[in-house]
Amino acid sequence: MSNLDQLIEELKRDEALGEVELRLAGGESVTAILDDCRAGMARVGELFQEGEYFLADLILSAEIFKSAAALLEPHINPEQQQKALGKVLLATMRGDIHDLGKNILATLFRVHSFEVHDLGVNVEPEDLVQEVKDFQPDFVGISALITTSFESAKEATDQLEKEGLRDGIKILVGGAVTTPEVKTYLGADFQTHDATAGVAYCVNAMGGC
Amino acid sequence: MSLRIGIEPQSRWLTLAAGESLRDALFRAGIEFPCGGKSLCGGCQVQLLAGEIEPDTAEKEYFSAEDIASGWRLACRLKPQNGMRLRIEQWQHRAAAPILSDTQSIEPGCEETYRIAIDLGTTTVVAQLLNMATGEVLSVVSRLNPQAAYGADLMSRIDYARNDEGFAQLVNTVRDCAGAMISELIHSSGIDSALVDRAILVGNTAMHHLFSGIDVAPLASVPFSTIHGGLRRLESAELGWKGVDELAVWVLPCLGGFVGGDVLAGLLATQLHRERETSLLVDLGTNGEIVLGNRQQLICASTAAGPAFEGGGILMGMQAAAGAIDAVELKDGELCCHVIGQQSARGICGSGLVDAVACGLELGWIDPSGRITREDKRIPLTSDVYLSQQDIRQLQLAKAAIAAGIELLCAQMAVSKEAVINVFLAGAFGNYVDVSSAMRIGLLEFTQHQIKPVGNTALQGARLALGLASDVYDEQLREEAADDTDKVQLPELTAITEKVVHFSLGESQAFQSLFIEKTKFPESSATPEYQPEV
Repeated sequence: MSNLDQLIEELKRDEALGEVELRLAGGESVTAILDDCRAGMARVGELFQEGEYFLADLILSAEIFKSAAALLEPHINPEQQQKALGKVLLATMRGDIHDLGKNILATLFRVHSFEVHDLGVNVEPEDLVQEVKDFQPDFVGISALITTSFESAKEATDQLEKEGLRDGIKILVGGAVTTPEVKTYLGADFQTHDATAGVAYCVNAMGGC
Repeated sequence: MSLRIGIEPQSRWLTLAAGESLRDALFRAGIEFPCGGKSLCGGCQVQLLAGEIEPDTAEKEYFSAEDIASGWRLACRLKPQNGMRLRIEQWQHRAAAPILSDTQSIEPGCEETYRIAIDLGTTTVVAQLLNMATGEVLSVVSRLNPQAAYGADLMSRIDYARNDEGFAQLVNTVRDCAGAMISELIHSSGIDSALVDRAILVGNTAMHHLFSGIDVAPLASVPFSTIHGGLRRLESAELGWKGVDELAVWVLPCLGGFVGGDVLAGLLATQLHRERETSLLVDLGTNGEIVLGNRQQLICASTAAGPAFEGGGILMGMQAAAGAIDAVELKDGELCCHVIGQQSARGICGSGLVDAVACGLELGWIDPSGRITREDKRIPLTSDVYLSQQDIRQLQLAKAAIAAGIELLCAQMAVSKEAVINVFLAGAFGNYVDVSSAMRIGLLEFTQHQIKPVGNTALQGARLALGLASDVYDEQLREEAADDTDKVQLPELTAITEKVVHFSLGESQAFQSLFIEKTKFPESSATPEYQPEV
């Protein structure tokens, strides 16, 4: 057994990537390596929650994970390709342009094998609704740092309801200014300030571990 | 069922709504808790003058039996009772007045008039009466901005103003406050009210709008900009002021986004816009404002630092009031805390926080990522006061917002930080913070000789503007501008406002990665090397 998960947990970029290459060369299965990477990322998430790690650490861990995934990519044989755990659509709604939290969330979702589509910031309600039709996500994540964007989020959720698209999806709202009242106002399924909790909710909803 | 409680020494009665907490009710009345109000620090001690209230366990632990008997309680534990009376004068702030309201004279003029300069701050309002003939400040008054009852910070007030009723409340509250202060200045100085012909108000963009009665909705969402930030002129009559003769009230124009007339006043005070060399003006507050430039070029931005510099969002954070640790230094490897007032420490204010973290870094108790390395996960300051890991995180966010903003403006103007001649620190926090600690934590990535605390430049600039406004304004302009007062201009100010470019940090991707980078602390106390942008 290697200590890949620990190297990632400790944010030792070069050593972690070296370990990935070593294990690939040793003929180990991509899935096993990826699982260790995920275990390391999960620890990083926990340490972030505990306040041991901060934003820069989280961003660094995401970069390490991305690089590791890029190393593994060519070795994934199509039959082995893991099916995505679920599809997530993310957006910061019109009136708000903050996306630091949303970007962290996107990375965490990818770490947990979700297919992520990120609409970016200042997103018009109709664009979100259209994307729900096109991308057919399991989850819609709305990120907010400014209360005024709740209005455009409300327009979007009302429209989803109106077009009969609401039942097929779970809506998550997150960000520093969100409260349980916002969840009720938007008729959302989940509200959190914590990206890790949001991902855990979705993993759970998909019956994952 | 509503109930009434009395507050001393103000001798006021407050009516509380059913279920309303003491904290909320006091806040509504413009009285802020001096601390976090979470039963952690004992910062909110009050004396019960009337009313029978049994102390709870936390209070018994905190106070001696004698104290309890003489009515001492913790306001955060008190359930309001009808008819109870509280004495809260021990919450008085430290003497912030010298910084907020220095009384330097301006150039004597020849007119035999009196004018009033008002710094309309989010937290504090300061007004001064000047004799224009001598340029002297005759009288000063200051008050808490009564809008605080509708929200401590700007964003919550802007949010409150989103419906017509809330908007009207905020407009009237601030106008009444300014009117009352003007009236007090005139009457206390005993001059003839008819000789006062003008008042000049400076404030941030939201204050400019609310005082002028302009909708603040554009400030509530992206791109946080307004087209109505121009110079305003109102008449005392339309403001509904009583006890004040006819008086023209000017509100200085905004520079863009959240960067308001207070920062424009800062330029007048520092003359940054007239120098050949490049200087920086930084107002460190919940909303940090930054202007970089010289006589050729000026660029400004605002950056959301959050309340950490004012002790907000910090576990044992409090305002710079009696009992706050306001300075920390290392003596022979030991932490030495200075506490405001002759008493033991019960919390920490912004300047103390910056010092404490700087010391923590020096001792190796905090690593450059901001992690507390000590076993107990605390930075112990006194037997009762410590910093938690989350406190360090809050400070990291605040300092990163400022440092990244400065860095980006420098990059935008292609000026190296070494080439900045002066770094003017405006505002109360900027004057109390220890410069070397601010450098140590990477809040100000400059050298000691560049950094110059300059006091309340908003008020200084408002005073200077009193002299400016006199000969330019005429009735014809006012007529022409009747439909759009933005057209009313003052050449001296127009020269600045036309030159200033507002840079929206939030919309910049570069800002976000810089921000993350700047959450880290510098590795060592050596002056950080400036790395030019690639």
